[in-house]
Formats: sequence, C-alpha cells, structure tokens
Amino acid sequence: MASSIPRRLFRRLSGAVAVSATALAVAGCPYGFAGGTLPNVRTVAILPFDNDTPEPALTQEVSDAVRQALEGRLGLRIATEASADAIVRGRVVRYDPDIPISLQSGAGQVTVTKRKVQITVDVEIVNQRDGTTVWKHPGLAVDGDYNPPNEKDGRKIAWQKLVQQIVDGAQSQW
Amino acid sequence: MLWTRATLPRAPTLIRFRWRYQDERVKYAGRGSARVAPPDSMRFDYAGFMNLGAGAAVVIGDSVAWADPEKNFRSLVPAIPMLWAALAMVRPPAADATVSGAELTDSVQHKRRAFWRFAQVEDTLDYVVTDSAGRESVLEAEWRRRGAVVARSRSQLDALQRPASARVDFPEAPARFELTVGVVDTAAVIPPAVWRSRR
Repeated sequence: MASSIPRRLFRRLSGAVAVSATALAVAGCPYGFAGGTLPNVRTVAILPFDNDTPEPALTQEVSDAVRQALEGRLGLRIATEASADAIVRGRVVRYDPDIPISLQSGAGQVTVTKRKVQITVDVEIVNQRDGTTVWKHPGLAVDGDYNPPNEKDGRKIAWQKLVQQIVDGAQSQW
Repeated sequence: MLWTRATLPRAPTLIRFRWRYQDERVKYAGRGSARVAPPDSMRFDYAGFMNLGAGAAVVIGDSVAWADPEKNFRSLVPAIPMLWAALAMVRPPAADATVSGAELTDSVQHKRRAFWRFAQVEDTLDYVVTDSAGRESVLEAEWRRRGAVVARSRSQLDALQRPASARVDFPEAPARFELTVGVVDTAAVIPPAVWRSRR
C-alpha cells in the first residue's frame, strides 16, 4: 500500500524513477548529440590530408585529431567514403616546429628554454548527399609549447587545440 | 629523347590515387598522392587504412632524395623507374645507355605500338606503348637486372593520355603494387616546403 511506504523511501523511489526515465530518454535517441552538431550528418569519412610540409608524420596525426573530434567528442561514426554522410578533407599547410618563446641569457650566448610548434591546417566537412560544405575553416592555426627538444609534446598540445576548434566549429552550426 | 619528354606533364601536376600492396606476408591498402614538378621531381605521399602508416618521399629522377620513414617507402616502392612508369611517365635514358626502338602500326585496328629499349651494363629497361588512337592506351615497362626481371608494370592511360590505373609486379619477391587514379590536377600549386627534408 502506497500510504504505508515511509516518506523517505517514497522520495528515494521517485528520484530513481526520474533518473531512469532520463537515462531511457537519452539511450532511446541513438545520435543524441549528433543532431546538435552538424546538420544531417551522422557518419563521416576522413580522407588523408594533403601535406605541404616536410614532416610526413603530420598526415596521420591530423587525421587522428580529426577522428578524436568527430568520433570521440561529437559522437559521429567513422565510415567509408562510399557510405558516409560527409567527408572531411583538408591540408596541412604549414608547420613551424621550433619557434622560440622563452630565452635565458648567459655569458656570450642565449639559450632557448621554451619553444612552440605552430601548425596551420585547412579543414572542410562536405555533406556528400547534397554536395554542400557543412563546415570549413581555412588557415586554422594551432600551437603548443614544449621544452626543447621534446617537439612531439608541443604537437600533442597543438592537436588537442585543433580537436577543440573543430568541436567548437561544428557546434556553432547548431 | 623526345618521346620520354612527351610522357611527362608540362606543368606541376597533382595525382591522387588509391593503392594496394601485397606480398607473401602482408596486404596493405590506402590512398596516396604524387606531386610532379617536371621534368624530374616528385613528392610521393601515402597513407594506409584509416590514414595509419603515413609517409612521404621526394624522388628526383631515378634516385630518392629522402624518404620518411625510409623503410616503409622502400618496401612500397622498391623500383623508382617503375613508379614513374606506373604514373605513365618515362624517365629519359641514362647517358651511357644504348637506346633502340621500333614502331608498328596496325591500320586495321588503328593501333600503334612503339618499343623502346634502354640498355646499360647491368640494367635493361624495355617500354612498350600501345596507342589506340587516344583510347585505351597502355604503357608497359619491364626492368631486368643481369637478365633477371626485377619488375614489370602496366599502366592504363585515359583519353587525355593521363594515368588511370597501374599494376607493378615484382616476380622475385613476389609482390604486387596497384594504383587507381582518382584525380589528376594539372594546375596544381606545389609549395616549396614539400621538397625539404626534416631529417
């Protein structure tokens, strides 16, 4: 009998039902956040970026960053080019690996104690169904500090910034 | 050799392709691009499935200026003259090569076949060009070293005499490299930085 359920227990049960209902509502929508990011895009194919730099590793690293943004953060699914709603393509335009940002002067010499990498990329997301450009950002520049000679640490920071820029850009389409 | 020059693009050209490589141990596939600055320079970029294993190389003539990672590029492209041939381009013969050639014309089928041989002390390169009045032209190449076949390539050309698809076989390995061209951009802008090496 409901009237015999103590008030505290009733409150707990009500809370549990509310939480479950919310969870069900979220789970029932398979692409909960996709609809709020890129219109009509649920699957994407990431094409290899053109690499205009002397650093071949950037081709894979930019692809990993784009995948992290689209799959990991925006909940889109990665698919083949033939079946994807949209394709992501772009170009690594420029790579400056060792820009000095912090110097220490000594006797007759100056030591660079901190440097940064700067990576400039063009990114474009094209809806394959209607051929429209969903999102485009030419000349997107990201950077990352590092302690010499750990250039890769700087690149990791720069790629995380790229991930955030793509997420922000995609969400601005909402 | 005017004929070899005619096979090269007149302007900087970007060729995008899909590729497959297979030998007795491994099978790889992916996408790639070749940026060709005539007459002799090429930046070759490749990436595997999900853009993994990406690498690049700069080829000047018949030699590799740099490749990164070097081992991957050497596995994928063990014979530079065959890479040019796969992209329907022929390198001029070496200065010390003996050059011979012949041409046959089939007036019934409107086919023309040209044969060229560039023979050096150890290496011989044979080329056969089958030209069907601008349709279904084929460039075949064979590289022999001390009599043994190192590689054979067969490149299909489109109506504009640009590469459409190619297959390169390495009988000794045995291994096969195939590519299918998706885009040929004859107005490509090639930035100077692509030729530099970081290592």
